[in-house]
Amino acid sequence: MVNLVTSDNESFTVEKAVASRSVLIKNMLEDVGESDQPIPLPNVTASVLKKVLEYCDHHKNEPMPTSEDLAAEDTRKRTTDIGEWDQKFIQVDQEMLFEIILAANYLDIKPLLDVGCKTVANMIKGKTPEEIRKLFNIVNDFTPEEEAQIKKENEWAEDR
Amino acid sequence: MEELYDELCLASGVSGRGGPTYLLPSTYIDRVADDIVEEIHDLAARGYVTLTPELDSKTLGNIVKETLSIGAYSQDSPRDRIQERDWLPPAYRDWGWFKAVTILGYFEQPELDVPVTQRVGRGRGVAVQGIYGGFIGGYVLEVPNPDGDEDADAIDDPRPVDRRPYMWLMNNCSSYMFSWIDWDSLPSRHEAFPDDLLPMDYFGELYEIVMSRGEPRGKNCLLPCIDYGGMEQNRFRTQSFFFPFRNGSKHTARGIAAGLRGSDLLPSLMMDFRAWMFHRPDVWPHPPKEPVAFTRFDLAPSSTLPNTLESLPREIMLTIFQYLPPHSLITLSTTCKSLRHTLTKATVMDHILKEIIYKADHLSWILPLNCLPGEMERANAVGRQWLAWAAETTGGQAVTDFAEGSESRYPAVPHFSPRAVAQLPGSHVWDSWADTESTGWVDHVATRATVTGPMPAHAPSLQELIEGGRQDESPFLSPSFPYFAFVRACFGDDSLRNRRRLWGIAKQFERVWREYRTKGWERDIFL
Repeated sequence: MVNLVTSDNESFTVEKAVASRSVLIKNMLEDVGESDQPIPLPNVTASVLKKVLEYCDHHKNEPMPTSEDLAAEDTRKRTTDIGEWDQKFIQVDQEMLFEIILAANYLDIKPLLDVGCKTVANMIKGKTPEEIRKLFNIVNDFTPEEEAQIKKENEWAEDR
Repeated sequence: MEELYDELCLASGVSGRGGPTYLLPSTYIDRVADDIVEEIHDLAARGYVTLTPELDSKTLGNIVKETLSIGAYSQDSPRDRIQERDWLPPAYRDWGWFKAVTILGYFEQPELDVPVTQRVGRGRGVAVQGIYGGFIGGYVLEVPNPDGDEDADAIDDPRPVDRRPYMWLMNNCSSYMFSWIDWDSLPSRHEAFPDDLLPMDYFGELYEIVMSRGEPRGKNCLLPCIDYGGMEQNRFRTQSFFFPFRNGSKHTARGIAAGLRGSDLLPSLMMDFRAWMFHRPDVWPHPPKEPVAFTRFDLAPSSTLPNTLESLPREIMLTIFQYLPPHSLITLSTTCKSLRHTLTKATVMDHILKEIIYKADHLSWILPLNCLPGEMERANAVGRQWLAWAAETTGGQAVTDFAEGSESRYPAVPHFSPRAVAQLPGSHVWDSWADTESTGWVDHVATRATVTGPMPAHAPSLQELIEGGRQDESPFLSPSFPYFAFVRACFGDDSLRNRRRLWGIAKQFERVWREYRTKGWERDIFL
């Protein structure tokens, strides 16, 4: 078992197979060797780690991607398709979604990072500028003249 | 008596005899002009276009009618050859690219329609034959009389003809379709048919897919579950005219407001008539004369306020951007100055678009394929122009780190041919087939026999060059390639717009194929 300590000082004891879905933790475990020392995770809060560990637990039996797999994946076509379980898992509020993405990035859990990024991309797709602004709390700082100029400049991307 | 309909290519929606060659029948000019004028007024009312006071309804109507008359067909029209119609852009006078056809079916049945109660043979036994223009498997592709008596009101009878024991595809369009379908992502056919262990080729599967769909084919032979980008919206029996494909009057309105009249207004009108859906889809645009860049705006203090998206690290933002289609990227860049500043840097946009082109699916239509002879060579020639243009506009040197002409080392043969095609008795297909420029599939089918054995070497695809570390063999893979400017030009280009439409059709067939391999037939109508 592995003991993880979050930024808000909460401890989580999890199976090694679960914790090792994080390349960061896996490398730390390999570096340190067998030890009862808790692993500090100063960039992750308890609420986020709980969610991340839920993901890791569900995927713990899947083979870890090798460097060859990652290289092959790099040449494969990317889609924004997300598996059924992952879709349900990532149905969280936006704040948690962004926290999960940051945690996946920090903990080096590429599949989870991909699920998060795809989810954000899917939120943006097909939306109008105003809908995107509302979604991400973006302030429109263009003048009406600037907006008209941009609209004209972007006509190429419109379907006709 | 059975009304005659154009039978349309399953992979493109284009008629077997080629697309339209007239704008509209002369008897429709007044009606269509009235509709266009009404739409222009509506656009003006919504601020899309500014009309001067003298452009009243009557004047607008006369302007539109004058241009429509140039390409109208009447009983009195001279029986000229299509090549002699100067008003028609050259791209719409030559249907050679579309002419070679593959037909799948059971040709021993003489009737055009199989009775509804009759079952049809399965995909494994389906015959595959090659035709060059006009005739299909002994069945005549309907050749209509392009006069003006096609009353749309009388043509709303969607009686299914799905029991026709054959279907057909234009060779070049189907080569694209088979290349764009991501076969690796599809399950095995055994998933839906675990007891059927014998192999079945792609044509056999396609036949079963089309014949077994729950919603049958219409009289035009297209599958209702496939969106052909508007091609299927034609209320007429034939594809004689461009006007049934009309989609609003934006370009015409803008053309008139800019002072275009007569034949000068014709390109705008044809844009609204979506003539590009009939354009040969493999003519890449040349670089523009001017540099292509976004207007930059000063970042106002308010735009430095954080928003949730920009709170993410830059590399994560870039990953998210790479999952977006170009339209969404552009929309995102219009939300605030800060995001525009980030997204519209030439280096950032070039990087994102390159990633999208090679690693996502949204833009995979934009690059040449090696399934058709000569396509890589012609695209590479244009690609080199873009590289030189990029060097010129950035004040640098043209990058020549790719081996010019290296692709010509490879014989031009199809990469993805689902089955060798047999010759129809008495057809003149094979002489024409050897004309690789217009017909596509070549050498190995021209041997007049079913070909077995390994396929000859083919020009490497861009993906193969990447995987083989041979990026220096294509200008498109050069680090200096101006992706943003190129993508922008492709979006505005008629040929590439049709290519994108064909790609969209292929992706829909991929979805239908997946359903077939997962769930099997929607209806069992097979012997």
